Amino acid sequence: MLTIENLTKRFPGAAAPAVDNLNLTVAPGELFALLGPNGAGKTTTINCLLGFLTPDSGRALIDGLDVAREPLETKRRLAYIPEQVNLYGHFSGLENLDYFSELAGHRYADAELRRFLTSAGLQTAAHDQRVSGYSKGMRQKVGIAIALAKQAKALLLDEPTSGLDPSASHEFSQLLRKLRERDVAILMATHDLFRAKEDATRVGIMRHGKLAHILTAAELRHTDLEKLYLEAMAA
Amino acid sequence: MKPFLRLCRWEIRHLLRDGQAWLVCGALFAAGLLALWTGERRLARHHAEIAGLPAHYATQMAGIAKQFSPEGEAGYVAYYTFFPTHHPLAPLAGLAVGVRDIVPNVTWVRLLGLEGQLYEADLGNPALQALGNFDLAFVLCALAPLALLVLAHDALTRERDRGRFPLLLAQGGSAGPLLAARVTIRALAVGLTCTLVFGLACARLPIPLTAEALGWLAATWSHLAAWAGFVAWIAAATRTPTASLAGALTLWIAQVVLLPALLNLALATALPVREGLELTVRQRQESHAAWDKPRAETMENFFVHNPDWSGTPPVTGRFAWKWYYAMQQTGDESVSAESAAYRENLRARQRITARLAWLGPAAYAQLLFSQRAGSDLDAHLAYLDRVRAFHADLRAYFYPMVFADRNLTPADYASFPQFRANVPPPPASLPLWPLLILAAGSATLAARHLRGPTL
Repeated sequence: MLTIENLTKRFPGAAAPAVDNLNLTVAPGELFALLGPNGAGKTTTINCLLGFLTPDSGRALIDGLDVAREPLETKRRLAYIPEQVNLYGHFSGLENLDYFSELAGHRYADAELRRFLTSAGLQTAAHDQRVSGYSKGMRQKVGIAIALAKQAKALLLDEPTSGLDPSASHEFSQLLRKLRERDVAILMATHDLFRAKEDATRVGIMRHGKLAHILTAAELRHTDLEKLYLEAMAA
Repeated sequence: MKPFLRLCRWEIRHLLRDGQAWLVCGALFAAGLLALWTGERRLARHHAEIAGLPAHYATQMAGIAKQFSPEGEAGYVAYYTFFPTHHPLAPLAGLAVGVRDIVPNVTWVRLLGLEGQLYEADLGNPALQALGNFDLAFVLCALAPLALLVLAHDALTRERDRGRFPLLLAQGGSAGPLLAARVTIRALAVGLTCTLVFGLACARLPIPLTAEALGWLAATWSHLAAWAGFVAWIAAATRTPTASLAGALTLWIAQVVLLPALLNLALATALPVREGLELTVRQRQESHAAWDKPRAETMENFFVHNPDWSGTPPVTGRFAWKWYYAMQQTGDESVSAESAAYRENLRARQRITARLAWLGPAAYAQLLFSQRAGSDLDAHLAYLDRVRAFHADLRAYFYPMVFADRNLTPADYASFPQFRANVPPPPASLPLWPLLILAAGSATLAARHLRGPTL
């Protein structure tokens, strides 16, 4: 569903490429967690999949479509939750969801929108409050609702649980599981080793724009992920 | 509903919740009302000035009748009789001052040499002239674009700055329609504010809904369309709100301040016109030189161009009115070539301005508005032509009596020529398409900037 082939992206003035000849596939129903320190190339990889950056070489494919050639069509098949979900403060959570859903071409009845917000963990009382009064976690939940409402086949998550409290983070894990059951392919960049081990079907440890390690779910069970991560960073 | 209309509907909701937008449109509306109020006062003053002319004329004629009772020489009576002429106000005159603050609305002419009389004008307050006038045309040409720039210059950079842009783009839309909807709705808000002020002007001044009034509205919207294109271009070409603001202000200053000044300077250099005062002085020098010449020489000079009067009785004695008016007219004739060149150069300036002004929508719109308000240079020159024709009527009326040394009784005064301010229909108005081409051109530039990854 999500395919990255020999992808290289170098920023002007940078000594080394941000993403260096990367190959990666995420199948439907799979959750691939990308671990790595800041600057490892996780967000650059996601931005190439979103079509926000043009790779210097290689390509990114969504559902078999080349992102560089069909940027609009590939975006339609993706949902995305950034690390910081920034919304319109003068709209309520419900209105923000309605607006972003319409941008994605979906029109939902009020009850459906509220269902998405509730699924994302936003308490009912907050649905009609202006987002300017929301906490970071509440905004993040609206972001999750926006991604859910898009009903996409692939989901790109860039540190989605940052700002969520442990119980909200747990609810989010449940949600991801349900999405996997619906055959959604998920690529998640994260620093959260615990969540990665809990939720992912595969984990990739990225360093200097390359995947240093890839572990399957079976391997993860018997691996001390933190130790492996620290070893990879020290290497 | 089509996706673009859905986007527009959301942009209306954004705008209605945006306090800054209310403030900007409110300030524009207030500026419009102020312009309307000053326009109304100016109109009232001009109307009163014009309406008072018959009474002033009657008072003057009563005085002359008293002085020359039971009768007086035709030349003597004509010397003391001032005839009022006026440039009537078009329905839209209250909205665009044009050149009417630097040229007279009323000119009193006598049978004397005309050139000097045409350029005599009283200035109400010269200090205000340096500052320029505050009228609705200024609000529309300078302030409405500023309001649109304030509202829409950061249409995309604000999204980048606040971190919403990735999520917006990831939803599957492209930045182009989003920008188009955003700029369109903001331009509509500014345009509706301007239209509302115009509607109030129509009700209050009042202005009938003629083709000219509708033309004013069409010019308002076409001008805003050009600026909407400009602002879309700035919003698409810049990457930070600071850069957008700098671009917007630079463009506004260039269009509203620098371009008109440069155009003016270029025209003044390329097409120098002699001041009206210079013509007056030349004409007077020519006329008064005749005091020191033999009367017969002046009369001979006069008969060269006016052979109809050559058969009239010769000038005798130390002073004769026919000689006096012949001397005045030869003064006019001595500067007739310069006078024609003066007028032609002014007209050429106006023509070239109209041809070049499309480079800047504000300058072009200013021309459109003053043309529709009958307050542009062409309208003033046409008025001067009518005064010139009326002065010719005066000569045609008085000369047979002056050259026949006839006397007039007060009963004759009723048949004196009177200026008729029948205004010819305005010339074909300047086209709006240059503004629409500017709009389309800059929108195309904006679209080019949004091709490819735009994050």
